[in-house]
Amino acid sequence: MTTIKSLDDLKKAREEALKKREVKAASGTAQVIVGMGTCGIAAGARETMKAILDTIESESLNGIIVTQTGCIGLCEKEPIVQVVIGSQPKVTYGKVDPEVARRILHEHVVNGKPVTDHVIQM
Amino acid sequence: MSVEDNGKGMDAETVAKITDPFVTSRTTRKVGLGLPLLKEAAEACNGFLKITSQLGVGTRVEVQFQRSHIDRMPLGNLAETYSQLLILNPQINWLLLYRFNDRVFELDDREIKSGLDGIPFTEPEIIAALRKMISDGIRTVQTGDPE
Repeated sequence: MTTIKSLDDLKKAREEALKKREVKAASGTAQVIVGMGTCGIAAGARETMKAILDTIESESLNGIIVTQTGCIGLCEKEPIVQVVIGSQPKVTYGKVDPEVARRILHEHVVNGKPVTDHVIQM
Repeated sequence: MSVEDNGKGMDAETVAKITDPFVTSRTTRKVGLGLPLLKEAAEACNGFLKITSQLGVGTRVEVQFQRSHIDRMPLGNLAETYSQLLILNPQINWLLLYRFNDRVFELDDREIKSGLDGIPFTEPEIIAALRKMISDGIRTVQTGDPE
């Protein structure tokens, strides 16, 4: 089972996250949804997801909710990443490799400018 | 490998058909590849896939692979796969169990969730702590090295 040491690490992590969330709460939520159906995984969605989580972790990007979804029926465009910022309409990106995923996080999620060359019109 | 849930289960007729890629519960498309591909991967290396299910109780999918077989697929990055399962599906209570001979790594994410008390798994500090916890546990099982 999880050791006491691990749970201590978690409690510490929780404290740090709590402090940052108070600062972030004012600016609204960002949601990033990655397609992880069979088509997505075959196209490399695991690496895309890893890049997203790596970037959030290494650059301490708080306040981003990351979730997964199944196949949305655009298999030829996988890996697919959808971004919802606050109450703005959902933006759907196709052929998102780790490099594009990092661009989406930096340019769209953090700086509010969608990465137009990868957007799919739904 | 086995995956077991307390979901809504399936009747016997569905269980018999479910490894057909054209049999699926999804409504948007007519194809479901998860189970058929898993069955094929197991049988390609002398293994099997077995499903037991009961309506209203849950389902268990048991898969066996012959590790030494030349056509046995690589395991992949297990720590990352486990981490992603937990981080991306907070609505599910995950119990992970990874065993090699007498070395075991177990994790019940309820312990973590109660410790976190509302902080989402996708906060960077939590992603880091979770990934470390899981990769340490898996490495200990794989190599016997506690740190």
